[in-house]
Amino acid sequence: MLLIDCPYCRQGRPEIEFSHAGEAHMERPADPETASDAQWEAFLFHRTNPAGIHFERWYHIHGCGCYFNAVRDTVSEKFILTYKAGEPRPAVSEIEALMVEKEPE
Amino acid sequence: MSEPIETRLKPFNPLADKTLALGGRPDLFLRPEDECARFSLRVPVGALKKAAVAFEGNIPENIGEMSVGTGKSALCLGPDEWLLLAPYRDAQSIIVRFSQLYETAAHSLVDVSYCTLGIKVCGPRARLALNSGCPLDLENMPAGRCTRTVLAKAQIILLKFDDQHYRLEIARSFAPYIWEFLKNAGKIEEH
Ligand SMILES: [Zn+2]
Repeated sequence: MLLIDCPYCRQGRPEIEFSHAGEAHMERPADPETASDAQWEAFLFHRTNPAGIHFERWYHIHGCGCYFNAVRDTVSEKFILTYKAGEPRPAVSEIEALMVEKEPE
Repeated sequence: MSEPIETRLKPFNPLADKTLALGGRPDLFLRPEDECARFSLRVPVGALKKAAVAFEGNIPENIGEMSVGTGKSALCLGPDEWLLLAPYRDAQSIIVRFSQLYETAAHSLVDVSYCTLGIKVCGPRARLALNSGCPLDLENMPAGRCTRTVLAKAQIILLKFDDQHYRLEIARSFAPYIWEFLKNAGKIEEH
């Protein structure tokens, strides 16, 4: 079992308290009336699906009840960092620095 | 105006008059807590002081903190979510006072008295029994803290008074499941 840092609880909590909620930072078309089919298609279906750094939404459903974002390495399955919903996407340099830090000796 | 809470139907209590005492001291003691009124309060932290005035009790500000009074308790479960516990006799005045609060502070107060049931869990084996199904580090959880979490396969709200005294809030329909789970967990010998 993993411990996931909830940025609201500010605690590492057991993974069974959480539920995954898809890719983060997917922006809904600002004006739905005028958005084209292609824009809707991109919003609804297109996901990055990377092998490596992935920005994800997580839901602390059996805890504080908050959605937050996480940066996770889909290869090692390690959580690199978590941040509150609405906060900007962390810079790649910040993420890479943390990945080096978390590397075992 | 809603009917005074104490004249409504009696809440469903699948544990009714049960108690459980395992071992000599007893090592594990379980008992349903007395019935009480429960409210789910959602309010921005900025209006928390006003909410505490309406509640006529302390309401802590940070997730995991709880304020346990003689009759009224307040548990902070999320950044803008609290569970308020109070004796039935105070329920109606809490509802009325919060309805007056709508004028000055946007909030939501929902009567969830019949949603969950309290179970007292105490004794030297209490932590072991709880930790048999709850992966939180209960040993290092400070006394006087609370949290929503998972026990076995059910969601609970856990209150820690001290290392040998806890309270669970569990959905009423799941209460027998959790009761039996703790009973069995309490029987496991520690090697
Ligand atoms: Zn949380």
